[in-house]
Amino acid sequence: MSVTAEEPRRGSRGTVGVTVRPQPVTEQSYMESVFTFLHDVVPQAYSGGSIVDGREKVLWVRFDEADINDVGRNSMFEQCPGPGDTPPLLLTLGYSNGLQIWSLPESGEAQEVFSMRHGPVRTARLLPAPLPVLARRDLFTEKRPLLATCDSISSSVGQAYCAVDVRSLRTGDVVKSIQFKTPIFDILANQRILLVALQEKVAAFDACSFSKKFFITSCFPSSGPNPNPLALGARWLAYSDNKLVQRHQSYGGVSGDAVQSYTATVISAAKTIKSGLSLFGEAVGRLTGGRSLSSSSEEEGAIGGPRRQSLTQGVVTITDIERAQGQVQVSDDHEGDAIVAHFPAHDHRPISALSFDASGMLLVTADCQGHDFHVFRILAHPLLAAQAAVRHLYTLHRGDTEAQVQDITMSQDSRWVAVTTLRGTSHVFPINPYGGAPCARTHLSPRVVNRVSRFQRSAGLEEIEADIASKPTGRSNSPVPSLSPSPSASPCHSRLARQESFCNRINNNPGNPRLPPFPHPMTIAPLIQIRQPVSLGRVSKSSGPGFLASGCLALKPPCKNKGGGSPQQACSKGSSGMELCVAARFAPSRSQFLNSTAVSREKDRASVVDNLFVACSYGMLLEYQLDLQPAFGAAKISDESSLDLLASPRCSWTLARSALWDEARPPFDNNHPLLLASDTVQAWRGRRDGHSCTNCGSNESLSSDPGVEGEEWLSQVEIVTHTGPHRRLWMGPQFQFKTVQSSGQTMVLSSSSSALLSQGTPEPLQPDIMDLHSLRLQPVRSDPVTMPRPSSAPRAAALEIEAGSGMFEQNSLLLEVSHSWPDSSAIGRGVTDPVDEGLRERIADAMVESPGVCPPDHAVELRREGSIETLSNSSGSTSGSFPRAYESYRASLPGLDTPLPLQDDDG
Amino acid sequence: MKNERESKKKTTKKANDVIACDFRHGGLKDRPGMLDLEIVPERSAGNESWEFSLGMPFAQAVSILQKHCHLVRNVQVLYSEQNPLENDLLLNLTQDGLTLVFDSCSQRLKIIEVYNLSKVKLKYCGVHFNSPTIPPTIEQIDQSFGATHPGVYNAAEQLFHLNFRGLSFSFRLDARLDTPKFAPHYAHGLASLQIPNGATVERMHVYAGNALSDARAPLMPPNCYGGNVYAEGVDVLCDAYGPIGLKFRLLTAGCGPVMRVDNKLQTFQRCVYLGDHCQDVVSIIGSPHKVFYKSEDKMRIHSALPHKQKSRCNDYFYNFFTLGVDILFDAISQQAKKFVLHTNYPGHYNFNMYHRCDFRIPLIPRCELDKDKEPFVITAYTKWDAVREA
Repeated sequence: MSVTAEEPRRGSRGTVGVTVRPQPVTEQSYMESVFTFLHDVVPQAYSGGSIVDGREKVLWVRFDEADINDVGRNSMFEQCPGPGDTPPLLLTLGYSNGLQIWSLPESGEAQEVFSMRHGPVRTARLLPAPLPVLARRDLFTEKRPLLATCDSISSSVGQAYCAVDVRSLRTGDVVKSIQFKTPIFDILANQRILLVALQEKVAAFDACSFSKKFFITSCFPSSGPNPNPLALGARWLAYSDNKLVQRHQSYGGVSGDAVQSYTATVISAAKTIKSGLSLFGEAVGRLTGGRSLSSSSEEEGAIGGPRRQSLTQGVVTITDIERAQGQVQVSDDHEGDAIVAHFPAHDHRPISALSFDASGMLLVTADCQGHDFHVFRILAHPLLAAQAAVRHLYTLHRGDTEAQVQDITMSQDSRWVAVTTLRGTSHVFPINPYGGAPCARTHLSPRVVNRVSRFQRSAGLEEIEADIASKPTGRSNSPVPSLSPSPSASPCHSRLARQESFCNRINNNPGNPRLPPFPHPMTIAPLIQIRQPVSLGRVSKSSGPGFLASGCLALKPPCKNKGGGSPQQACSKGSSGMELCVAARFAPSRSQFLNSTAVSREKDRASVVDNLFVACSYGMLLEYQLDLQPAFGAAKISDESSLDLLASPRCSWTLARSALWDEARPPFDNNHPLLLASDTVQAWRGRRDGHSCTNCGSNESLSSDPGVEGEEWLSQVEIVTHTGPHRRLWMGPQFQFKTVQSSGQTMVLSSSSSALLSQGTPEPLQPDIMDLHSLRLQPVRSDPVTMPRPSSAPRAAALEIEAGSGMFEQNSLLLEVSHSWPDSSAIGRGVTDPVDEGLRERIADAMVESPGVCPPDHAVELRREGSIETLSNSSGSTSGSFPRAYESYRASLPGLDTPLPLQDDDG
Repeated sequence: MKNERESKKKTTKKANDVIACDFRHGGLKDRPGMLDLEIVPERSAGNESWEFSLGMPFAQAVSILQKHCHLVRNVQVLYSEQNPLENDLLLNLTQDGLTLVFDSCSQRLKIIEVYNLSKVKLKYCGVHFNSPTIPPTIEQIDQSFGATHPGVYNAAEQLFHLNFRGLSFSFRLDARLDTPKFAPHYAHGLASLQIPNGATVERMHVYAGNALSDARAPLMPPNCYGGNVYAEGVDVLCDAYGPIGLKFRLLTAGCGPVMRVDNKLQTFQRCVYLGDHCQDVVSIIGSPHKVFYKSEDKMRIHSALPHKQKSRCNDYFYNFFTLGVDILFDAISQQAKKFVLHTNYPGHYNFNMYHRCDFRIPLIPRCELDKDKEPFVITAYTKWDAVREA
């Protein structure tokens, strides 16, 4: 059943261009596709093959982030997406003659916001409005929004694609043109810089003025579709470096392939050893049958041509955009204060793709082989890259065949990764942003859960595991560092790390997540693979044999007959003709209107996984609905169950441009979505630069609705900000908390130490020596008879919790219930009730005993009194009888065993 | 054979009894697990696997004690409820005769006091000067530590103090002897000769400074950092509308190039603003110790419209335990939207989770008249009454 394509509506000149409605892809077509030879999801829209006649040929597709979908600054999108609050998807299509930009809002109607026919365009980016910073003034405020393009016409140098044109979408003219000597491969942009990727070089320009900011010349080229892989976050730029400098190498890094043999691991460890360790090199040479590894690093080869011998593959460097100035280089001579992390990401294979997640703390890397993709978590240090750590969380195992990666995308909550290869297949993997196995507990919930479940925490399992992990094992002595730390960690580094962790064990520091050993990464297989048909679609006569479309940035000309002169770049050897430019994004559904019943619409909104939007160079955009379930066939569905993902195509948009369509060029009307978005974002001013904020309300209370009265206080309260420990300090039998009364009078005490330590304020420091009764200087009050309010009860209990096994459970229960527990010095706390005060003091008095005066029975008596008042009746009975095991604690109470100076058995 | 076994059993049984007996009464016998500490005056007390250094934060001392809970069985935490800042915070190891005195403002170790020398073994430069077999007499101290200023007698306490730099011993005078002999005016060089032989040390103090009375908690020694970043102080930056960010004065050690091993203390200042992206915050103050995804908001039940907003938000906290700060990030925009500063007062539910954040919050003057006055600054030590008056 083929899908009829409606004639798209054309808007009038000045407003948006054509509008395209989504076409549903029905279930029947899905069922039919099961029986096709592809055995995979095939969108029915392709089967006819006739719908795309008359359309121009799309060369590349890309999703974009610009002002129109800037959730941070565009006030139209508040937090917690509800209906009407989802930012639109921006899709850029590159043709052999010009480009086209579409916006897909939540309504599902795709709008063409820009269309130009200006010759072949290699790449284009919509530039977001720069961050408002006092020091930098935006020179192009009136001209925004800006579009940066790289086309063949504008370069003044002989070669094409050597210039970047920045044109204004408000006025239509070119505001800036940047020329280069070598061809450009890609343009990236964020709120701070405009980045241009060249062959083995990167140039960065300030977003406000387009003046030069910094440049990098040490990139390692990739043979994949993207010759210079880069990842640009809000503040960090990750690129593939060409050498590993130990001085700046971060802890961690790639953690060794599981399949590597002992020999291979040793060799890879040996390759990073600098001169001075020739003995080790010789030993390795013996092991590998005579292949000698000389101590000079020049001959330690990377695989590749003779030029590449001195360079190392698979190294990623992350640099801080703000601090980078001039040439950014990782070397022994430079201080490297702009370097955030420097680590090996793949064992001696060149990197072919990099991508940050939304938060910027996770980096997904892919190498040229394409078997495995690695997910790293970056733990930065404020000063040095050498003190930073990179933890290898996951190895996403795609398969054993070769593949070239062209796109990596992650969902907003960083629980899903979709990697698209050059053949057009998107592989979807589940991960957790903190590591650990993806299971029903972590992924079937609509919100991200913490790593440690309630059960694990209350049982103390996490701390037990941490203890086991921290015990010094023989690992540090083994010659094969294939277990954590990584095999490619420099030996000096690992030695120092061991030293520091040894010091830590000496002083038992509160733990530094940046120090090794790190847990081993987990291997994840894709839950689903979504394939685009590569044998269908047009094969125009003029195109070269076997080539349907060039990859995103691979530089084969679409048509060999036409002149082009663009430099050739050898693609991967394996794929011949099976190439498709595909881009993917996770986003909430745009096809809700298709659902007929309200029930299914609710189900849509309640879905835990965003849908996957896949755009391919047929000019089609497809939305796949992802349904997540616990693994089929599991007898009992528990927290740890594995997952099953089903993908079904929901609807499609035919976005390829017809030759008959007009261009949609500036000048636009004022209600053009791009212009509106740019105005809104530029009006937003951060608080930092001291300007009055036009959206103050939404800024202040981001977690509450500013319109509703009385809601603002909600944002001022936070109850739980961290995962509490298994057992609080004051609960434990080892520690007892005692309060001490400080009196207003100056008194001479028998205790000698207090007079030495404090300037005359008598403070009872040693309850076993001084006479505490004399310190009870509280004015006599009438003791309250009524039961205290629940809020005060746990407070009193918190003062003194002896280690009776029954007691602390009760206490913890009460404490769990009453969570509105203000800090004693927090602003906003009211003055405590005098009733509470009196009660607390009385109990405190009871707790502070003086030895020798109160016999042990009395002590128990006091405690029982206190507990009856504060806890429920049942605890009163248990507190009286101390279990045998705690005999020693009771015995260690002051007054029982501490020898007093007056007694004779001392000295 | 049988007799042998029986007798063996009997002996072991006896041994157990003896040990149990000693343990309970803390007797003079060398009980297994008696702490053996190496004293470094003005610096630390410890052994090969751990040490208490002067200037060490409270949390680190507690974690040492927790890790060695089989050695140190009972610890009392003493603090003042009413005025936590006036009295020092104490960790009293009751079975080891040791007290660690922490300055209550900075919560760092100020004084190590041994008040019962019979429960612990002490060494100096590897040689014991106090153990069950070596009583800490004045001659022993003289021999181990050498000469010093003559002792000082304090009549009120009836104690004789012998002070070294960073170390002081207190001897109790037996009441049986003639007290008038030790009148203060004898202290000029002659009184030390008058300490009777055999007088043993009553107490020992390790501190930093010239004298015990003005001992101050020193700065954290570099080997206590462990690569973590600590905050000396945090200033809250405000504009006319409210807080906009935090200015940290940060300390860290162990930051030299990897090849060098020396731990140099480094101080630097950094500012974090509301609205900063995750990557900004991590570049500025480093990565957090833990990330906590906000669970069900328990306060929402108090909201007027609890049903309106479904709990789908994935906001997360970055916990910086050593700075005493939490930063809440919005799930959609990944921007910082809230700062939580902790004061870590003893007695609080969350005590010993965070280090104390020494913050200063200037209050914005509300009316025109106040604009000329010094803005009132709220610190971690301000009481609520003072805030209300301002």
